[in-house]
Amino acid sequence: MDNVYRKIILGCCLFLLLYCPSSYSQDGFKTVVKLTDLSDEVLLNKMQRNATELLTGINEAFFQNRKPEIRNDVMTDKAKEILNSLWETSPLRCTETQIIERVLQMKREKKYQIRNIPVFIKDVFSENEAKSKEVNNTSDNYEICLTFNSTGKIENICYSLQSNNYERLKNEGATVSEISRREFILEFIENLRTAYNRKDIDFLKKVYSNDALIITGTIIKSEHSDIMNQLGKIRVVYQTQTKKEYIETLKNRIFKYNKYVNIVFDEIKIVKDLKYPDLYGVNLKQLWNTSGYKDVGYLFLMIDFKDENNPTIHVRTWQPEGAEQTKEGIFGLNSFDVVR
Amino acid sequence: MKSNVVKTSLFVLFLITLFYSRINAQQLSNPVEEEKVKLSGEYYWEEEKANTEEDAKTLAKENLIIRIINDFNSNGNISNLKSIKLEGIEYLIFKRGSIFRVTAFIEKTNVTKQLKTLREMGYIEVIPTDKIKEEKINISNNILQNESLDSTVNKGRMKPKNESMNYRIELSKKEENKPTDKYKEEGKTKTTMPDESVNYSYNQMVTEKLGEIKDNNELLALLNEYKRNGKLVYGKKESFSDPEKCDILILNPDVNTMEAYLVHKDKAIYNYLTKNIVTDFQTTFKDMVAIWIMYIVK
Repeated sequence: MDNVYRKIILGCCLFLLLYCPSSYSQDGFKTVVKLTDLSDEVLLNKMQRNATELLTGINEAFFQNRKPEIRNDVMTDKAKEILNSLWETSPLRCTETQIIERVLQMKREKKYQIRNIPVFIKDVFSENEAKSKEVNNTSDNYEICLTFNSTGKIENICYSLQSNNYERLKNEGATVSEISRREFILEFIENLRTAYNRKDIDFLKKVYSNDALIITGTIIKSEHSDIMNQLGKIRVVYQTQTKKEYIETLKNRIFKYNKYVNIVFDEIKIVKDLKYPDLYGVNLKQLWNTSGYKDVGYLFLMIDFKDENNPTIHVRTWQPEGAEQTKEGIFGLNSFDVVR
Repeated sequence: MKSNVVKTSLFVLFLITLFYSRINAQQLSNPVEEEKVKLSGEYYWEEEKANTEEDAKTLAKENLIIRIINDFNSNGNISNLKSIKLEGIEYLIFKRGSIFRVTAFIEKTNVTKQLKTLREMGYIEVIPTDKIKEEKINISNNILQNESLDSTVNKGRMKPKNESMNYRIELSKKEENKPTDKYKEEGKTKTTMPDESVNYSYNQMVTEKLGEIKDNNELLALLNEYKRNGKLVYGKKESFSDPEKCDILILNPDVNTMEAYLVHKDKAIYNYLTKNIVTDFQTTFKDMVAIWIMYIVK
C-alpha cells in the first residue's frame, strides 16, 4: 500500500517539478519582450534585447529589494535617472513573463515606442487596498511605455495612458501633422504624469510658464447639502495661485510628506484653439493618490506648443467632482481669453 | 503511524497541486498561440483590456475591424467600405488580476476571401486613386454595418447598394451668416467671406482642415478618414438629393492639387481658399474634378 502512496507522491512531485511556476525559479524574473511591425530587423532585435534586459533587471531588483542595475548600453543616462527616481518613490515590476507588442514609430522624430507593459507598483498596490473603488480599479492596470532612440537604446520610461485612450486620441487628428502633434501632446501628458510620480520638481518648474494661472476649486458644503445638490446649487470656491506658490506647495508639502505620489489621467479630451493653432486645451479626469490623501477631480491644462521642444503650461485648473453641475461647468479653452 | 505521515504528505501535495492549477487557470489562453498570432504576420490582430471578458472582447473586435478597414481603404484605393461584420474572428483571453486582456484575431487570407466575395457581389466598389479623374467616387452606403455576411446573404436581405440607403443622417442646420458689425462698418460688398469667428461650427473646423491640404492624395485620404468616422459623405452631384447643401472640392488632376473649395453661403458660392465669390464654377473650373461633400451632424 505504501508503494502506491510513494508512487502517487512521486508523480505529484514530478508534476510540480515539470510545471513549477517560473516565478519561483531564478528564470522567473525574466520578462521576454518580442516585438513586431518594424522592418529594420537589426534595430528590432536590439530593442527587444534592451527591453527584455530592462524589465528583467527591474524584476530582479524588485524581488531582491535593491536598486536596479542596468547596463549602460541598454538605456541612456537620462533614462537611468528617470528609472532611479521612479524607484525611489515606488519600486515596480513587470507582471508578465512575455510581452508581444507592436513597435510604434513616432511621427515627429525618429523614435520608437512600445506601450502596454503591465507593471505592479509596490507601495501603491499594498496601501490601496482599503481605498476607494475608483482608485482601486485602476491599480490592476498600471502600464508603462518605453521610448527608444534611433539606435534602439531606451531613452525614456513613463507611465502610460491606457492603450485604447492613446490610439483614440491620436487618431482623432485629421491630418498627418495633426496626428503627429497629438502624439506629441500625449507624450507630454504621460511625461507630466510621470513627473509627479517621480517627484520631479525641476520638470514641473520647467513646464509651467512663469506667469501661469493656477486655479483650484473647493466645494462648499452646506448643512443642507442634499437639498442643495438636488437643486443643482453646489457652490465651488476658486483659489488662484502663482507658479511660485504652486511649486512651493508641491515641493515643501506634497512631495516632502508623501512617500509616493501617484496620479492617473483618464477621460482625456484634446482641443485645438481655433485662433492660435499652437495652443491646445487638454481636459482630464485626474485620480490623485498619495500615501496620505486621495481625490478625484477635473483637470484642465492650457498648453502652448509654440516652441515644440519646450511646451509650456499657461493655465492649470483643478475642479472637484460635482463642479460640472455648477454654472461655471468644467473649464476649457473657451473659459479664458488668450491674447498673444 | 508511517501510513498517516504518507497520507498527510499526500494531502498536502494534493492541495499544492490544486493551488497551482488554480493559479495556472488564470492564463486562459496559450502564450505560444499568442506568439503565433502576433508574430507570424498571417493574422490581423488587436488587443484590448477591460474589467469583464465581454467588454474586452467587444473592444478588441471593434479595434480589429477598424484595423482591417483602415488597411483595406488605405491600400491606395478609395472604397465605400465603412463597416463590416466578418466571420471567423477568434479570441485569446488572458487574465491579469481583475483585468481581462483579450486579443481578437482573424487570418488575413480569410479576410481577403470575404472581401473578395463582397467586391464580386458589388457591395464594395473600389476605385484606384489614379482613376479619380473619371469622377467615379461612390457615396458610402451602410448595408454591411449590422449584418453578418453569411446571414444576410442567406436571408437574401442584402440589396444592391443604391437601393438600400439606410444611412441615417441628419443634415447640418447651417445658420445664416449675417455680416458682422465690422463687416457692415467697412461697407464691404459680398465679395469676401463674412467673419465666421463668432459662430464657428464643427463643420467649419473640418472645412478648415480640408482647406489646408494641397495634395490630392492626402486630401482623399482625409476624406476617407472622415467618411469612415461618419463625419461626412462625398460623391458626385447626382448622388445627393439636395446638392446645394454640399460643399464642393475642385481638384486639378494635372498638378494633383486642390484648386478650390466651394462653399454655399447666402445663396452664393464662395471659394473658401481665395475668399471670393465664384459666379459660374462649372465654367471657371472646366476640365477639373468636382467632389460634393455633405457633413453629417453628430
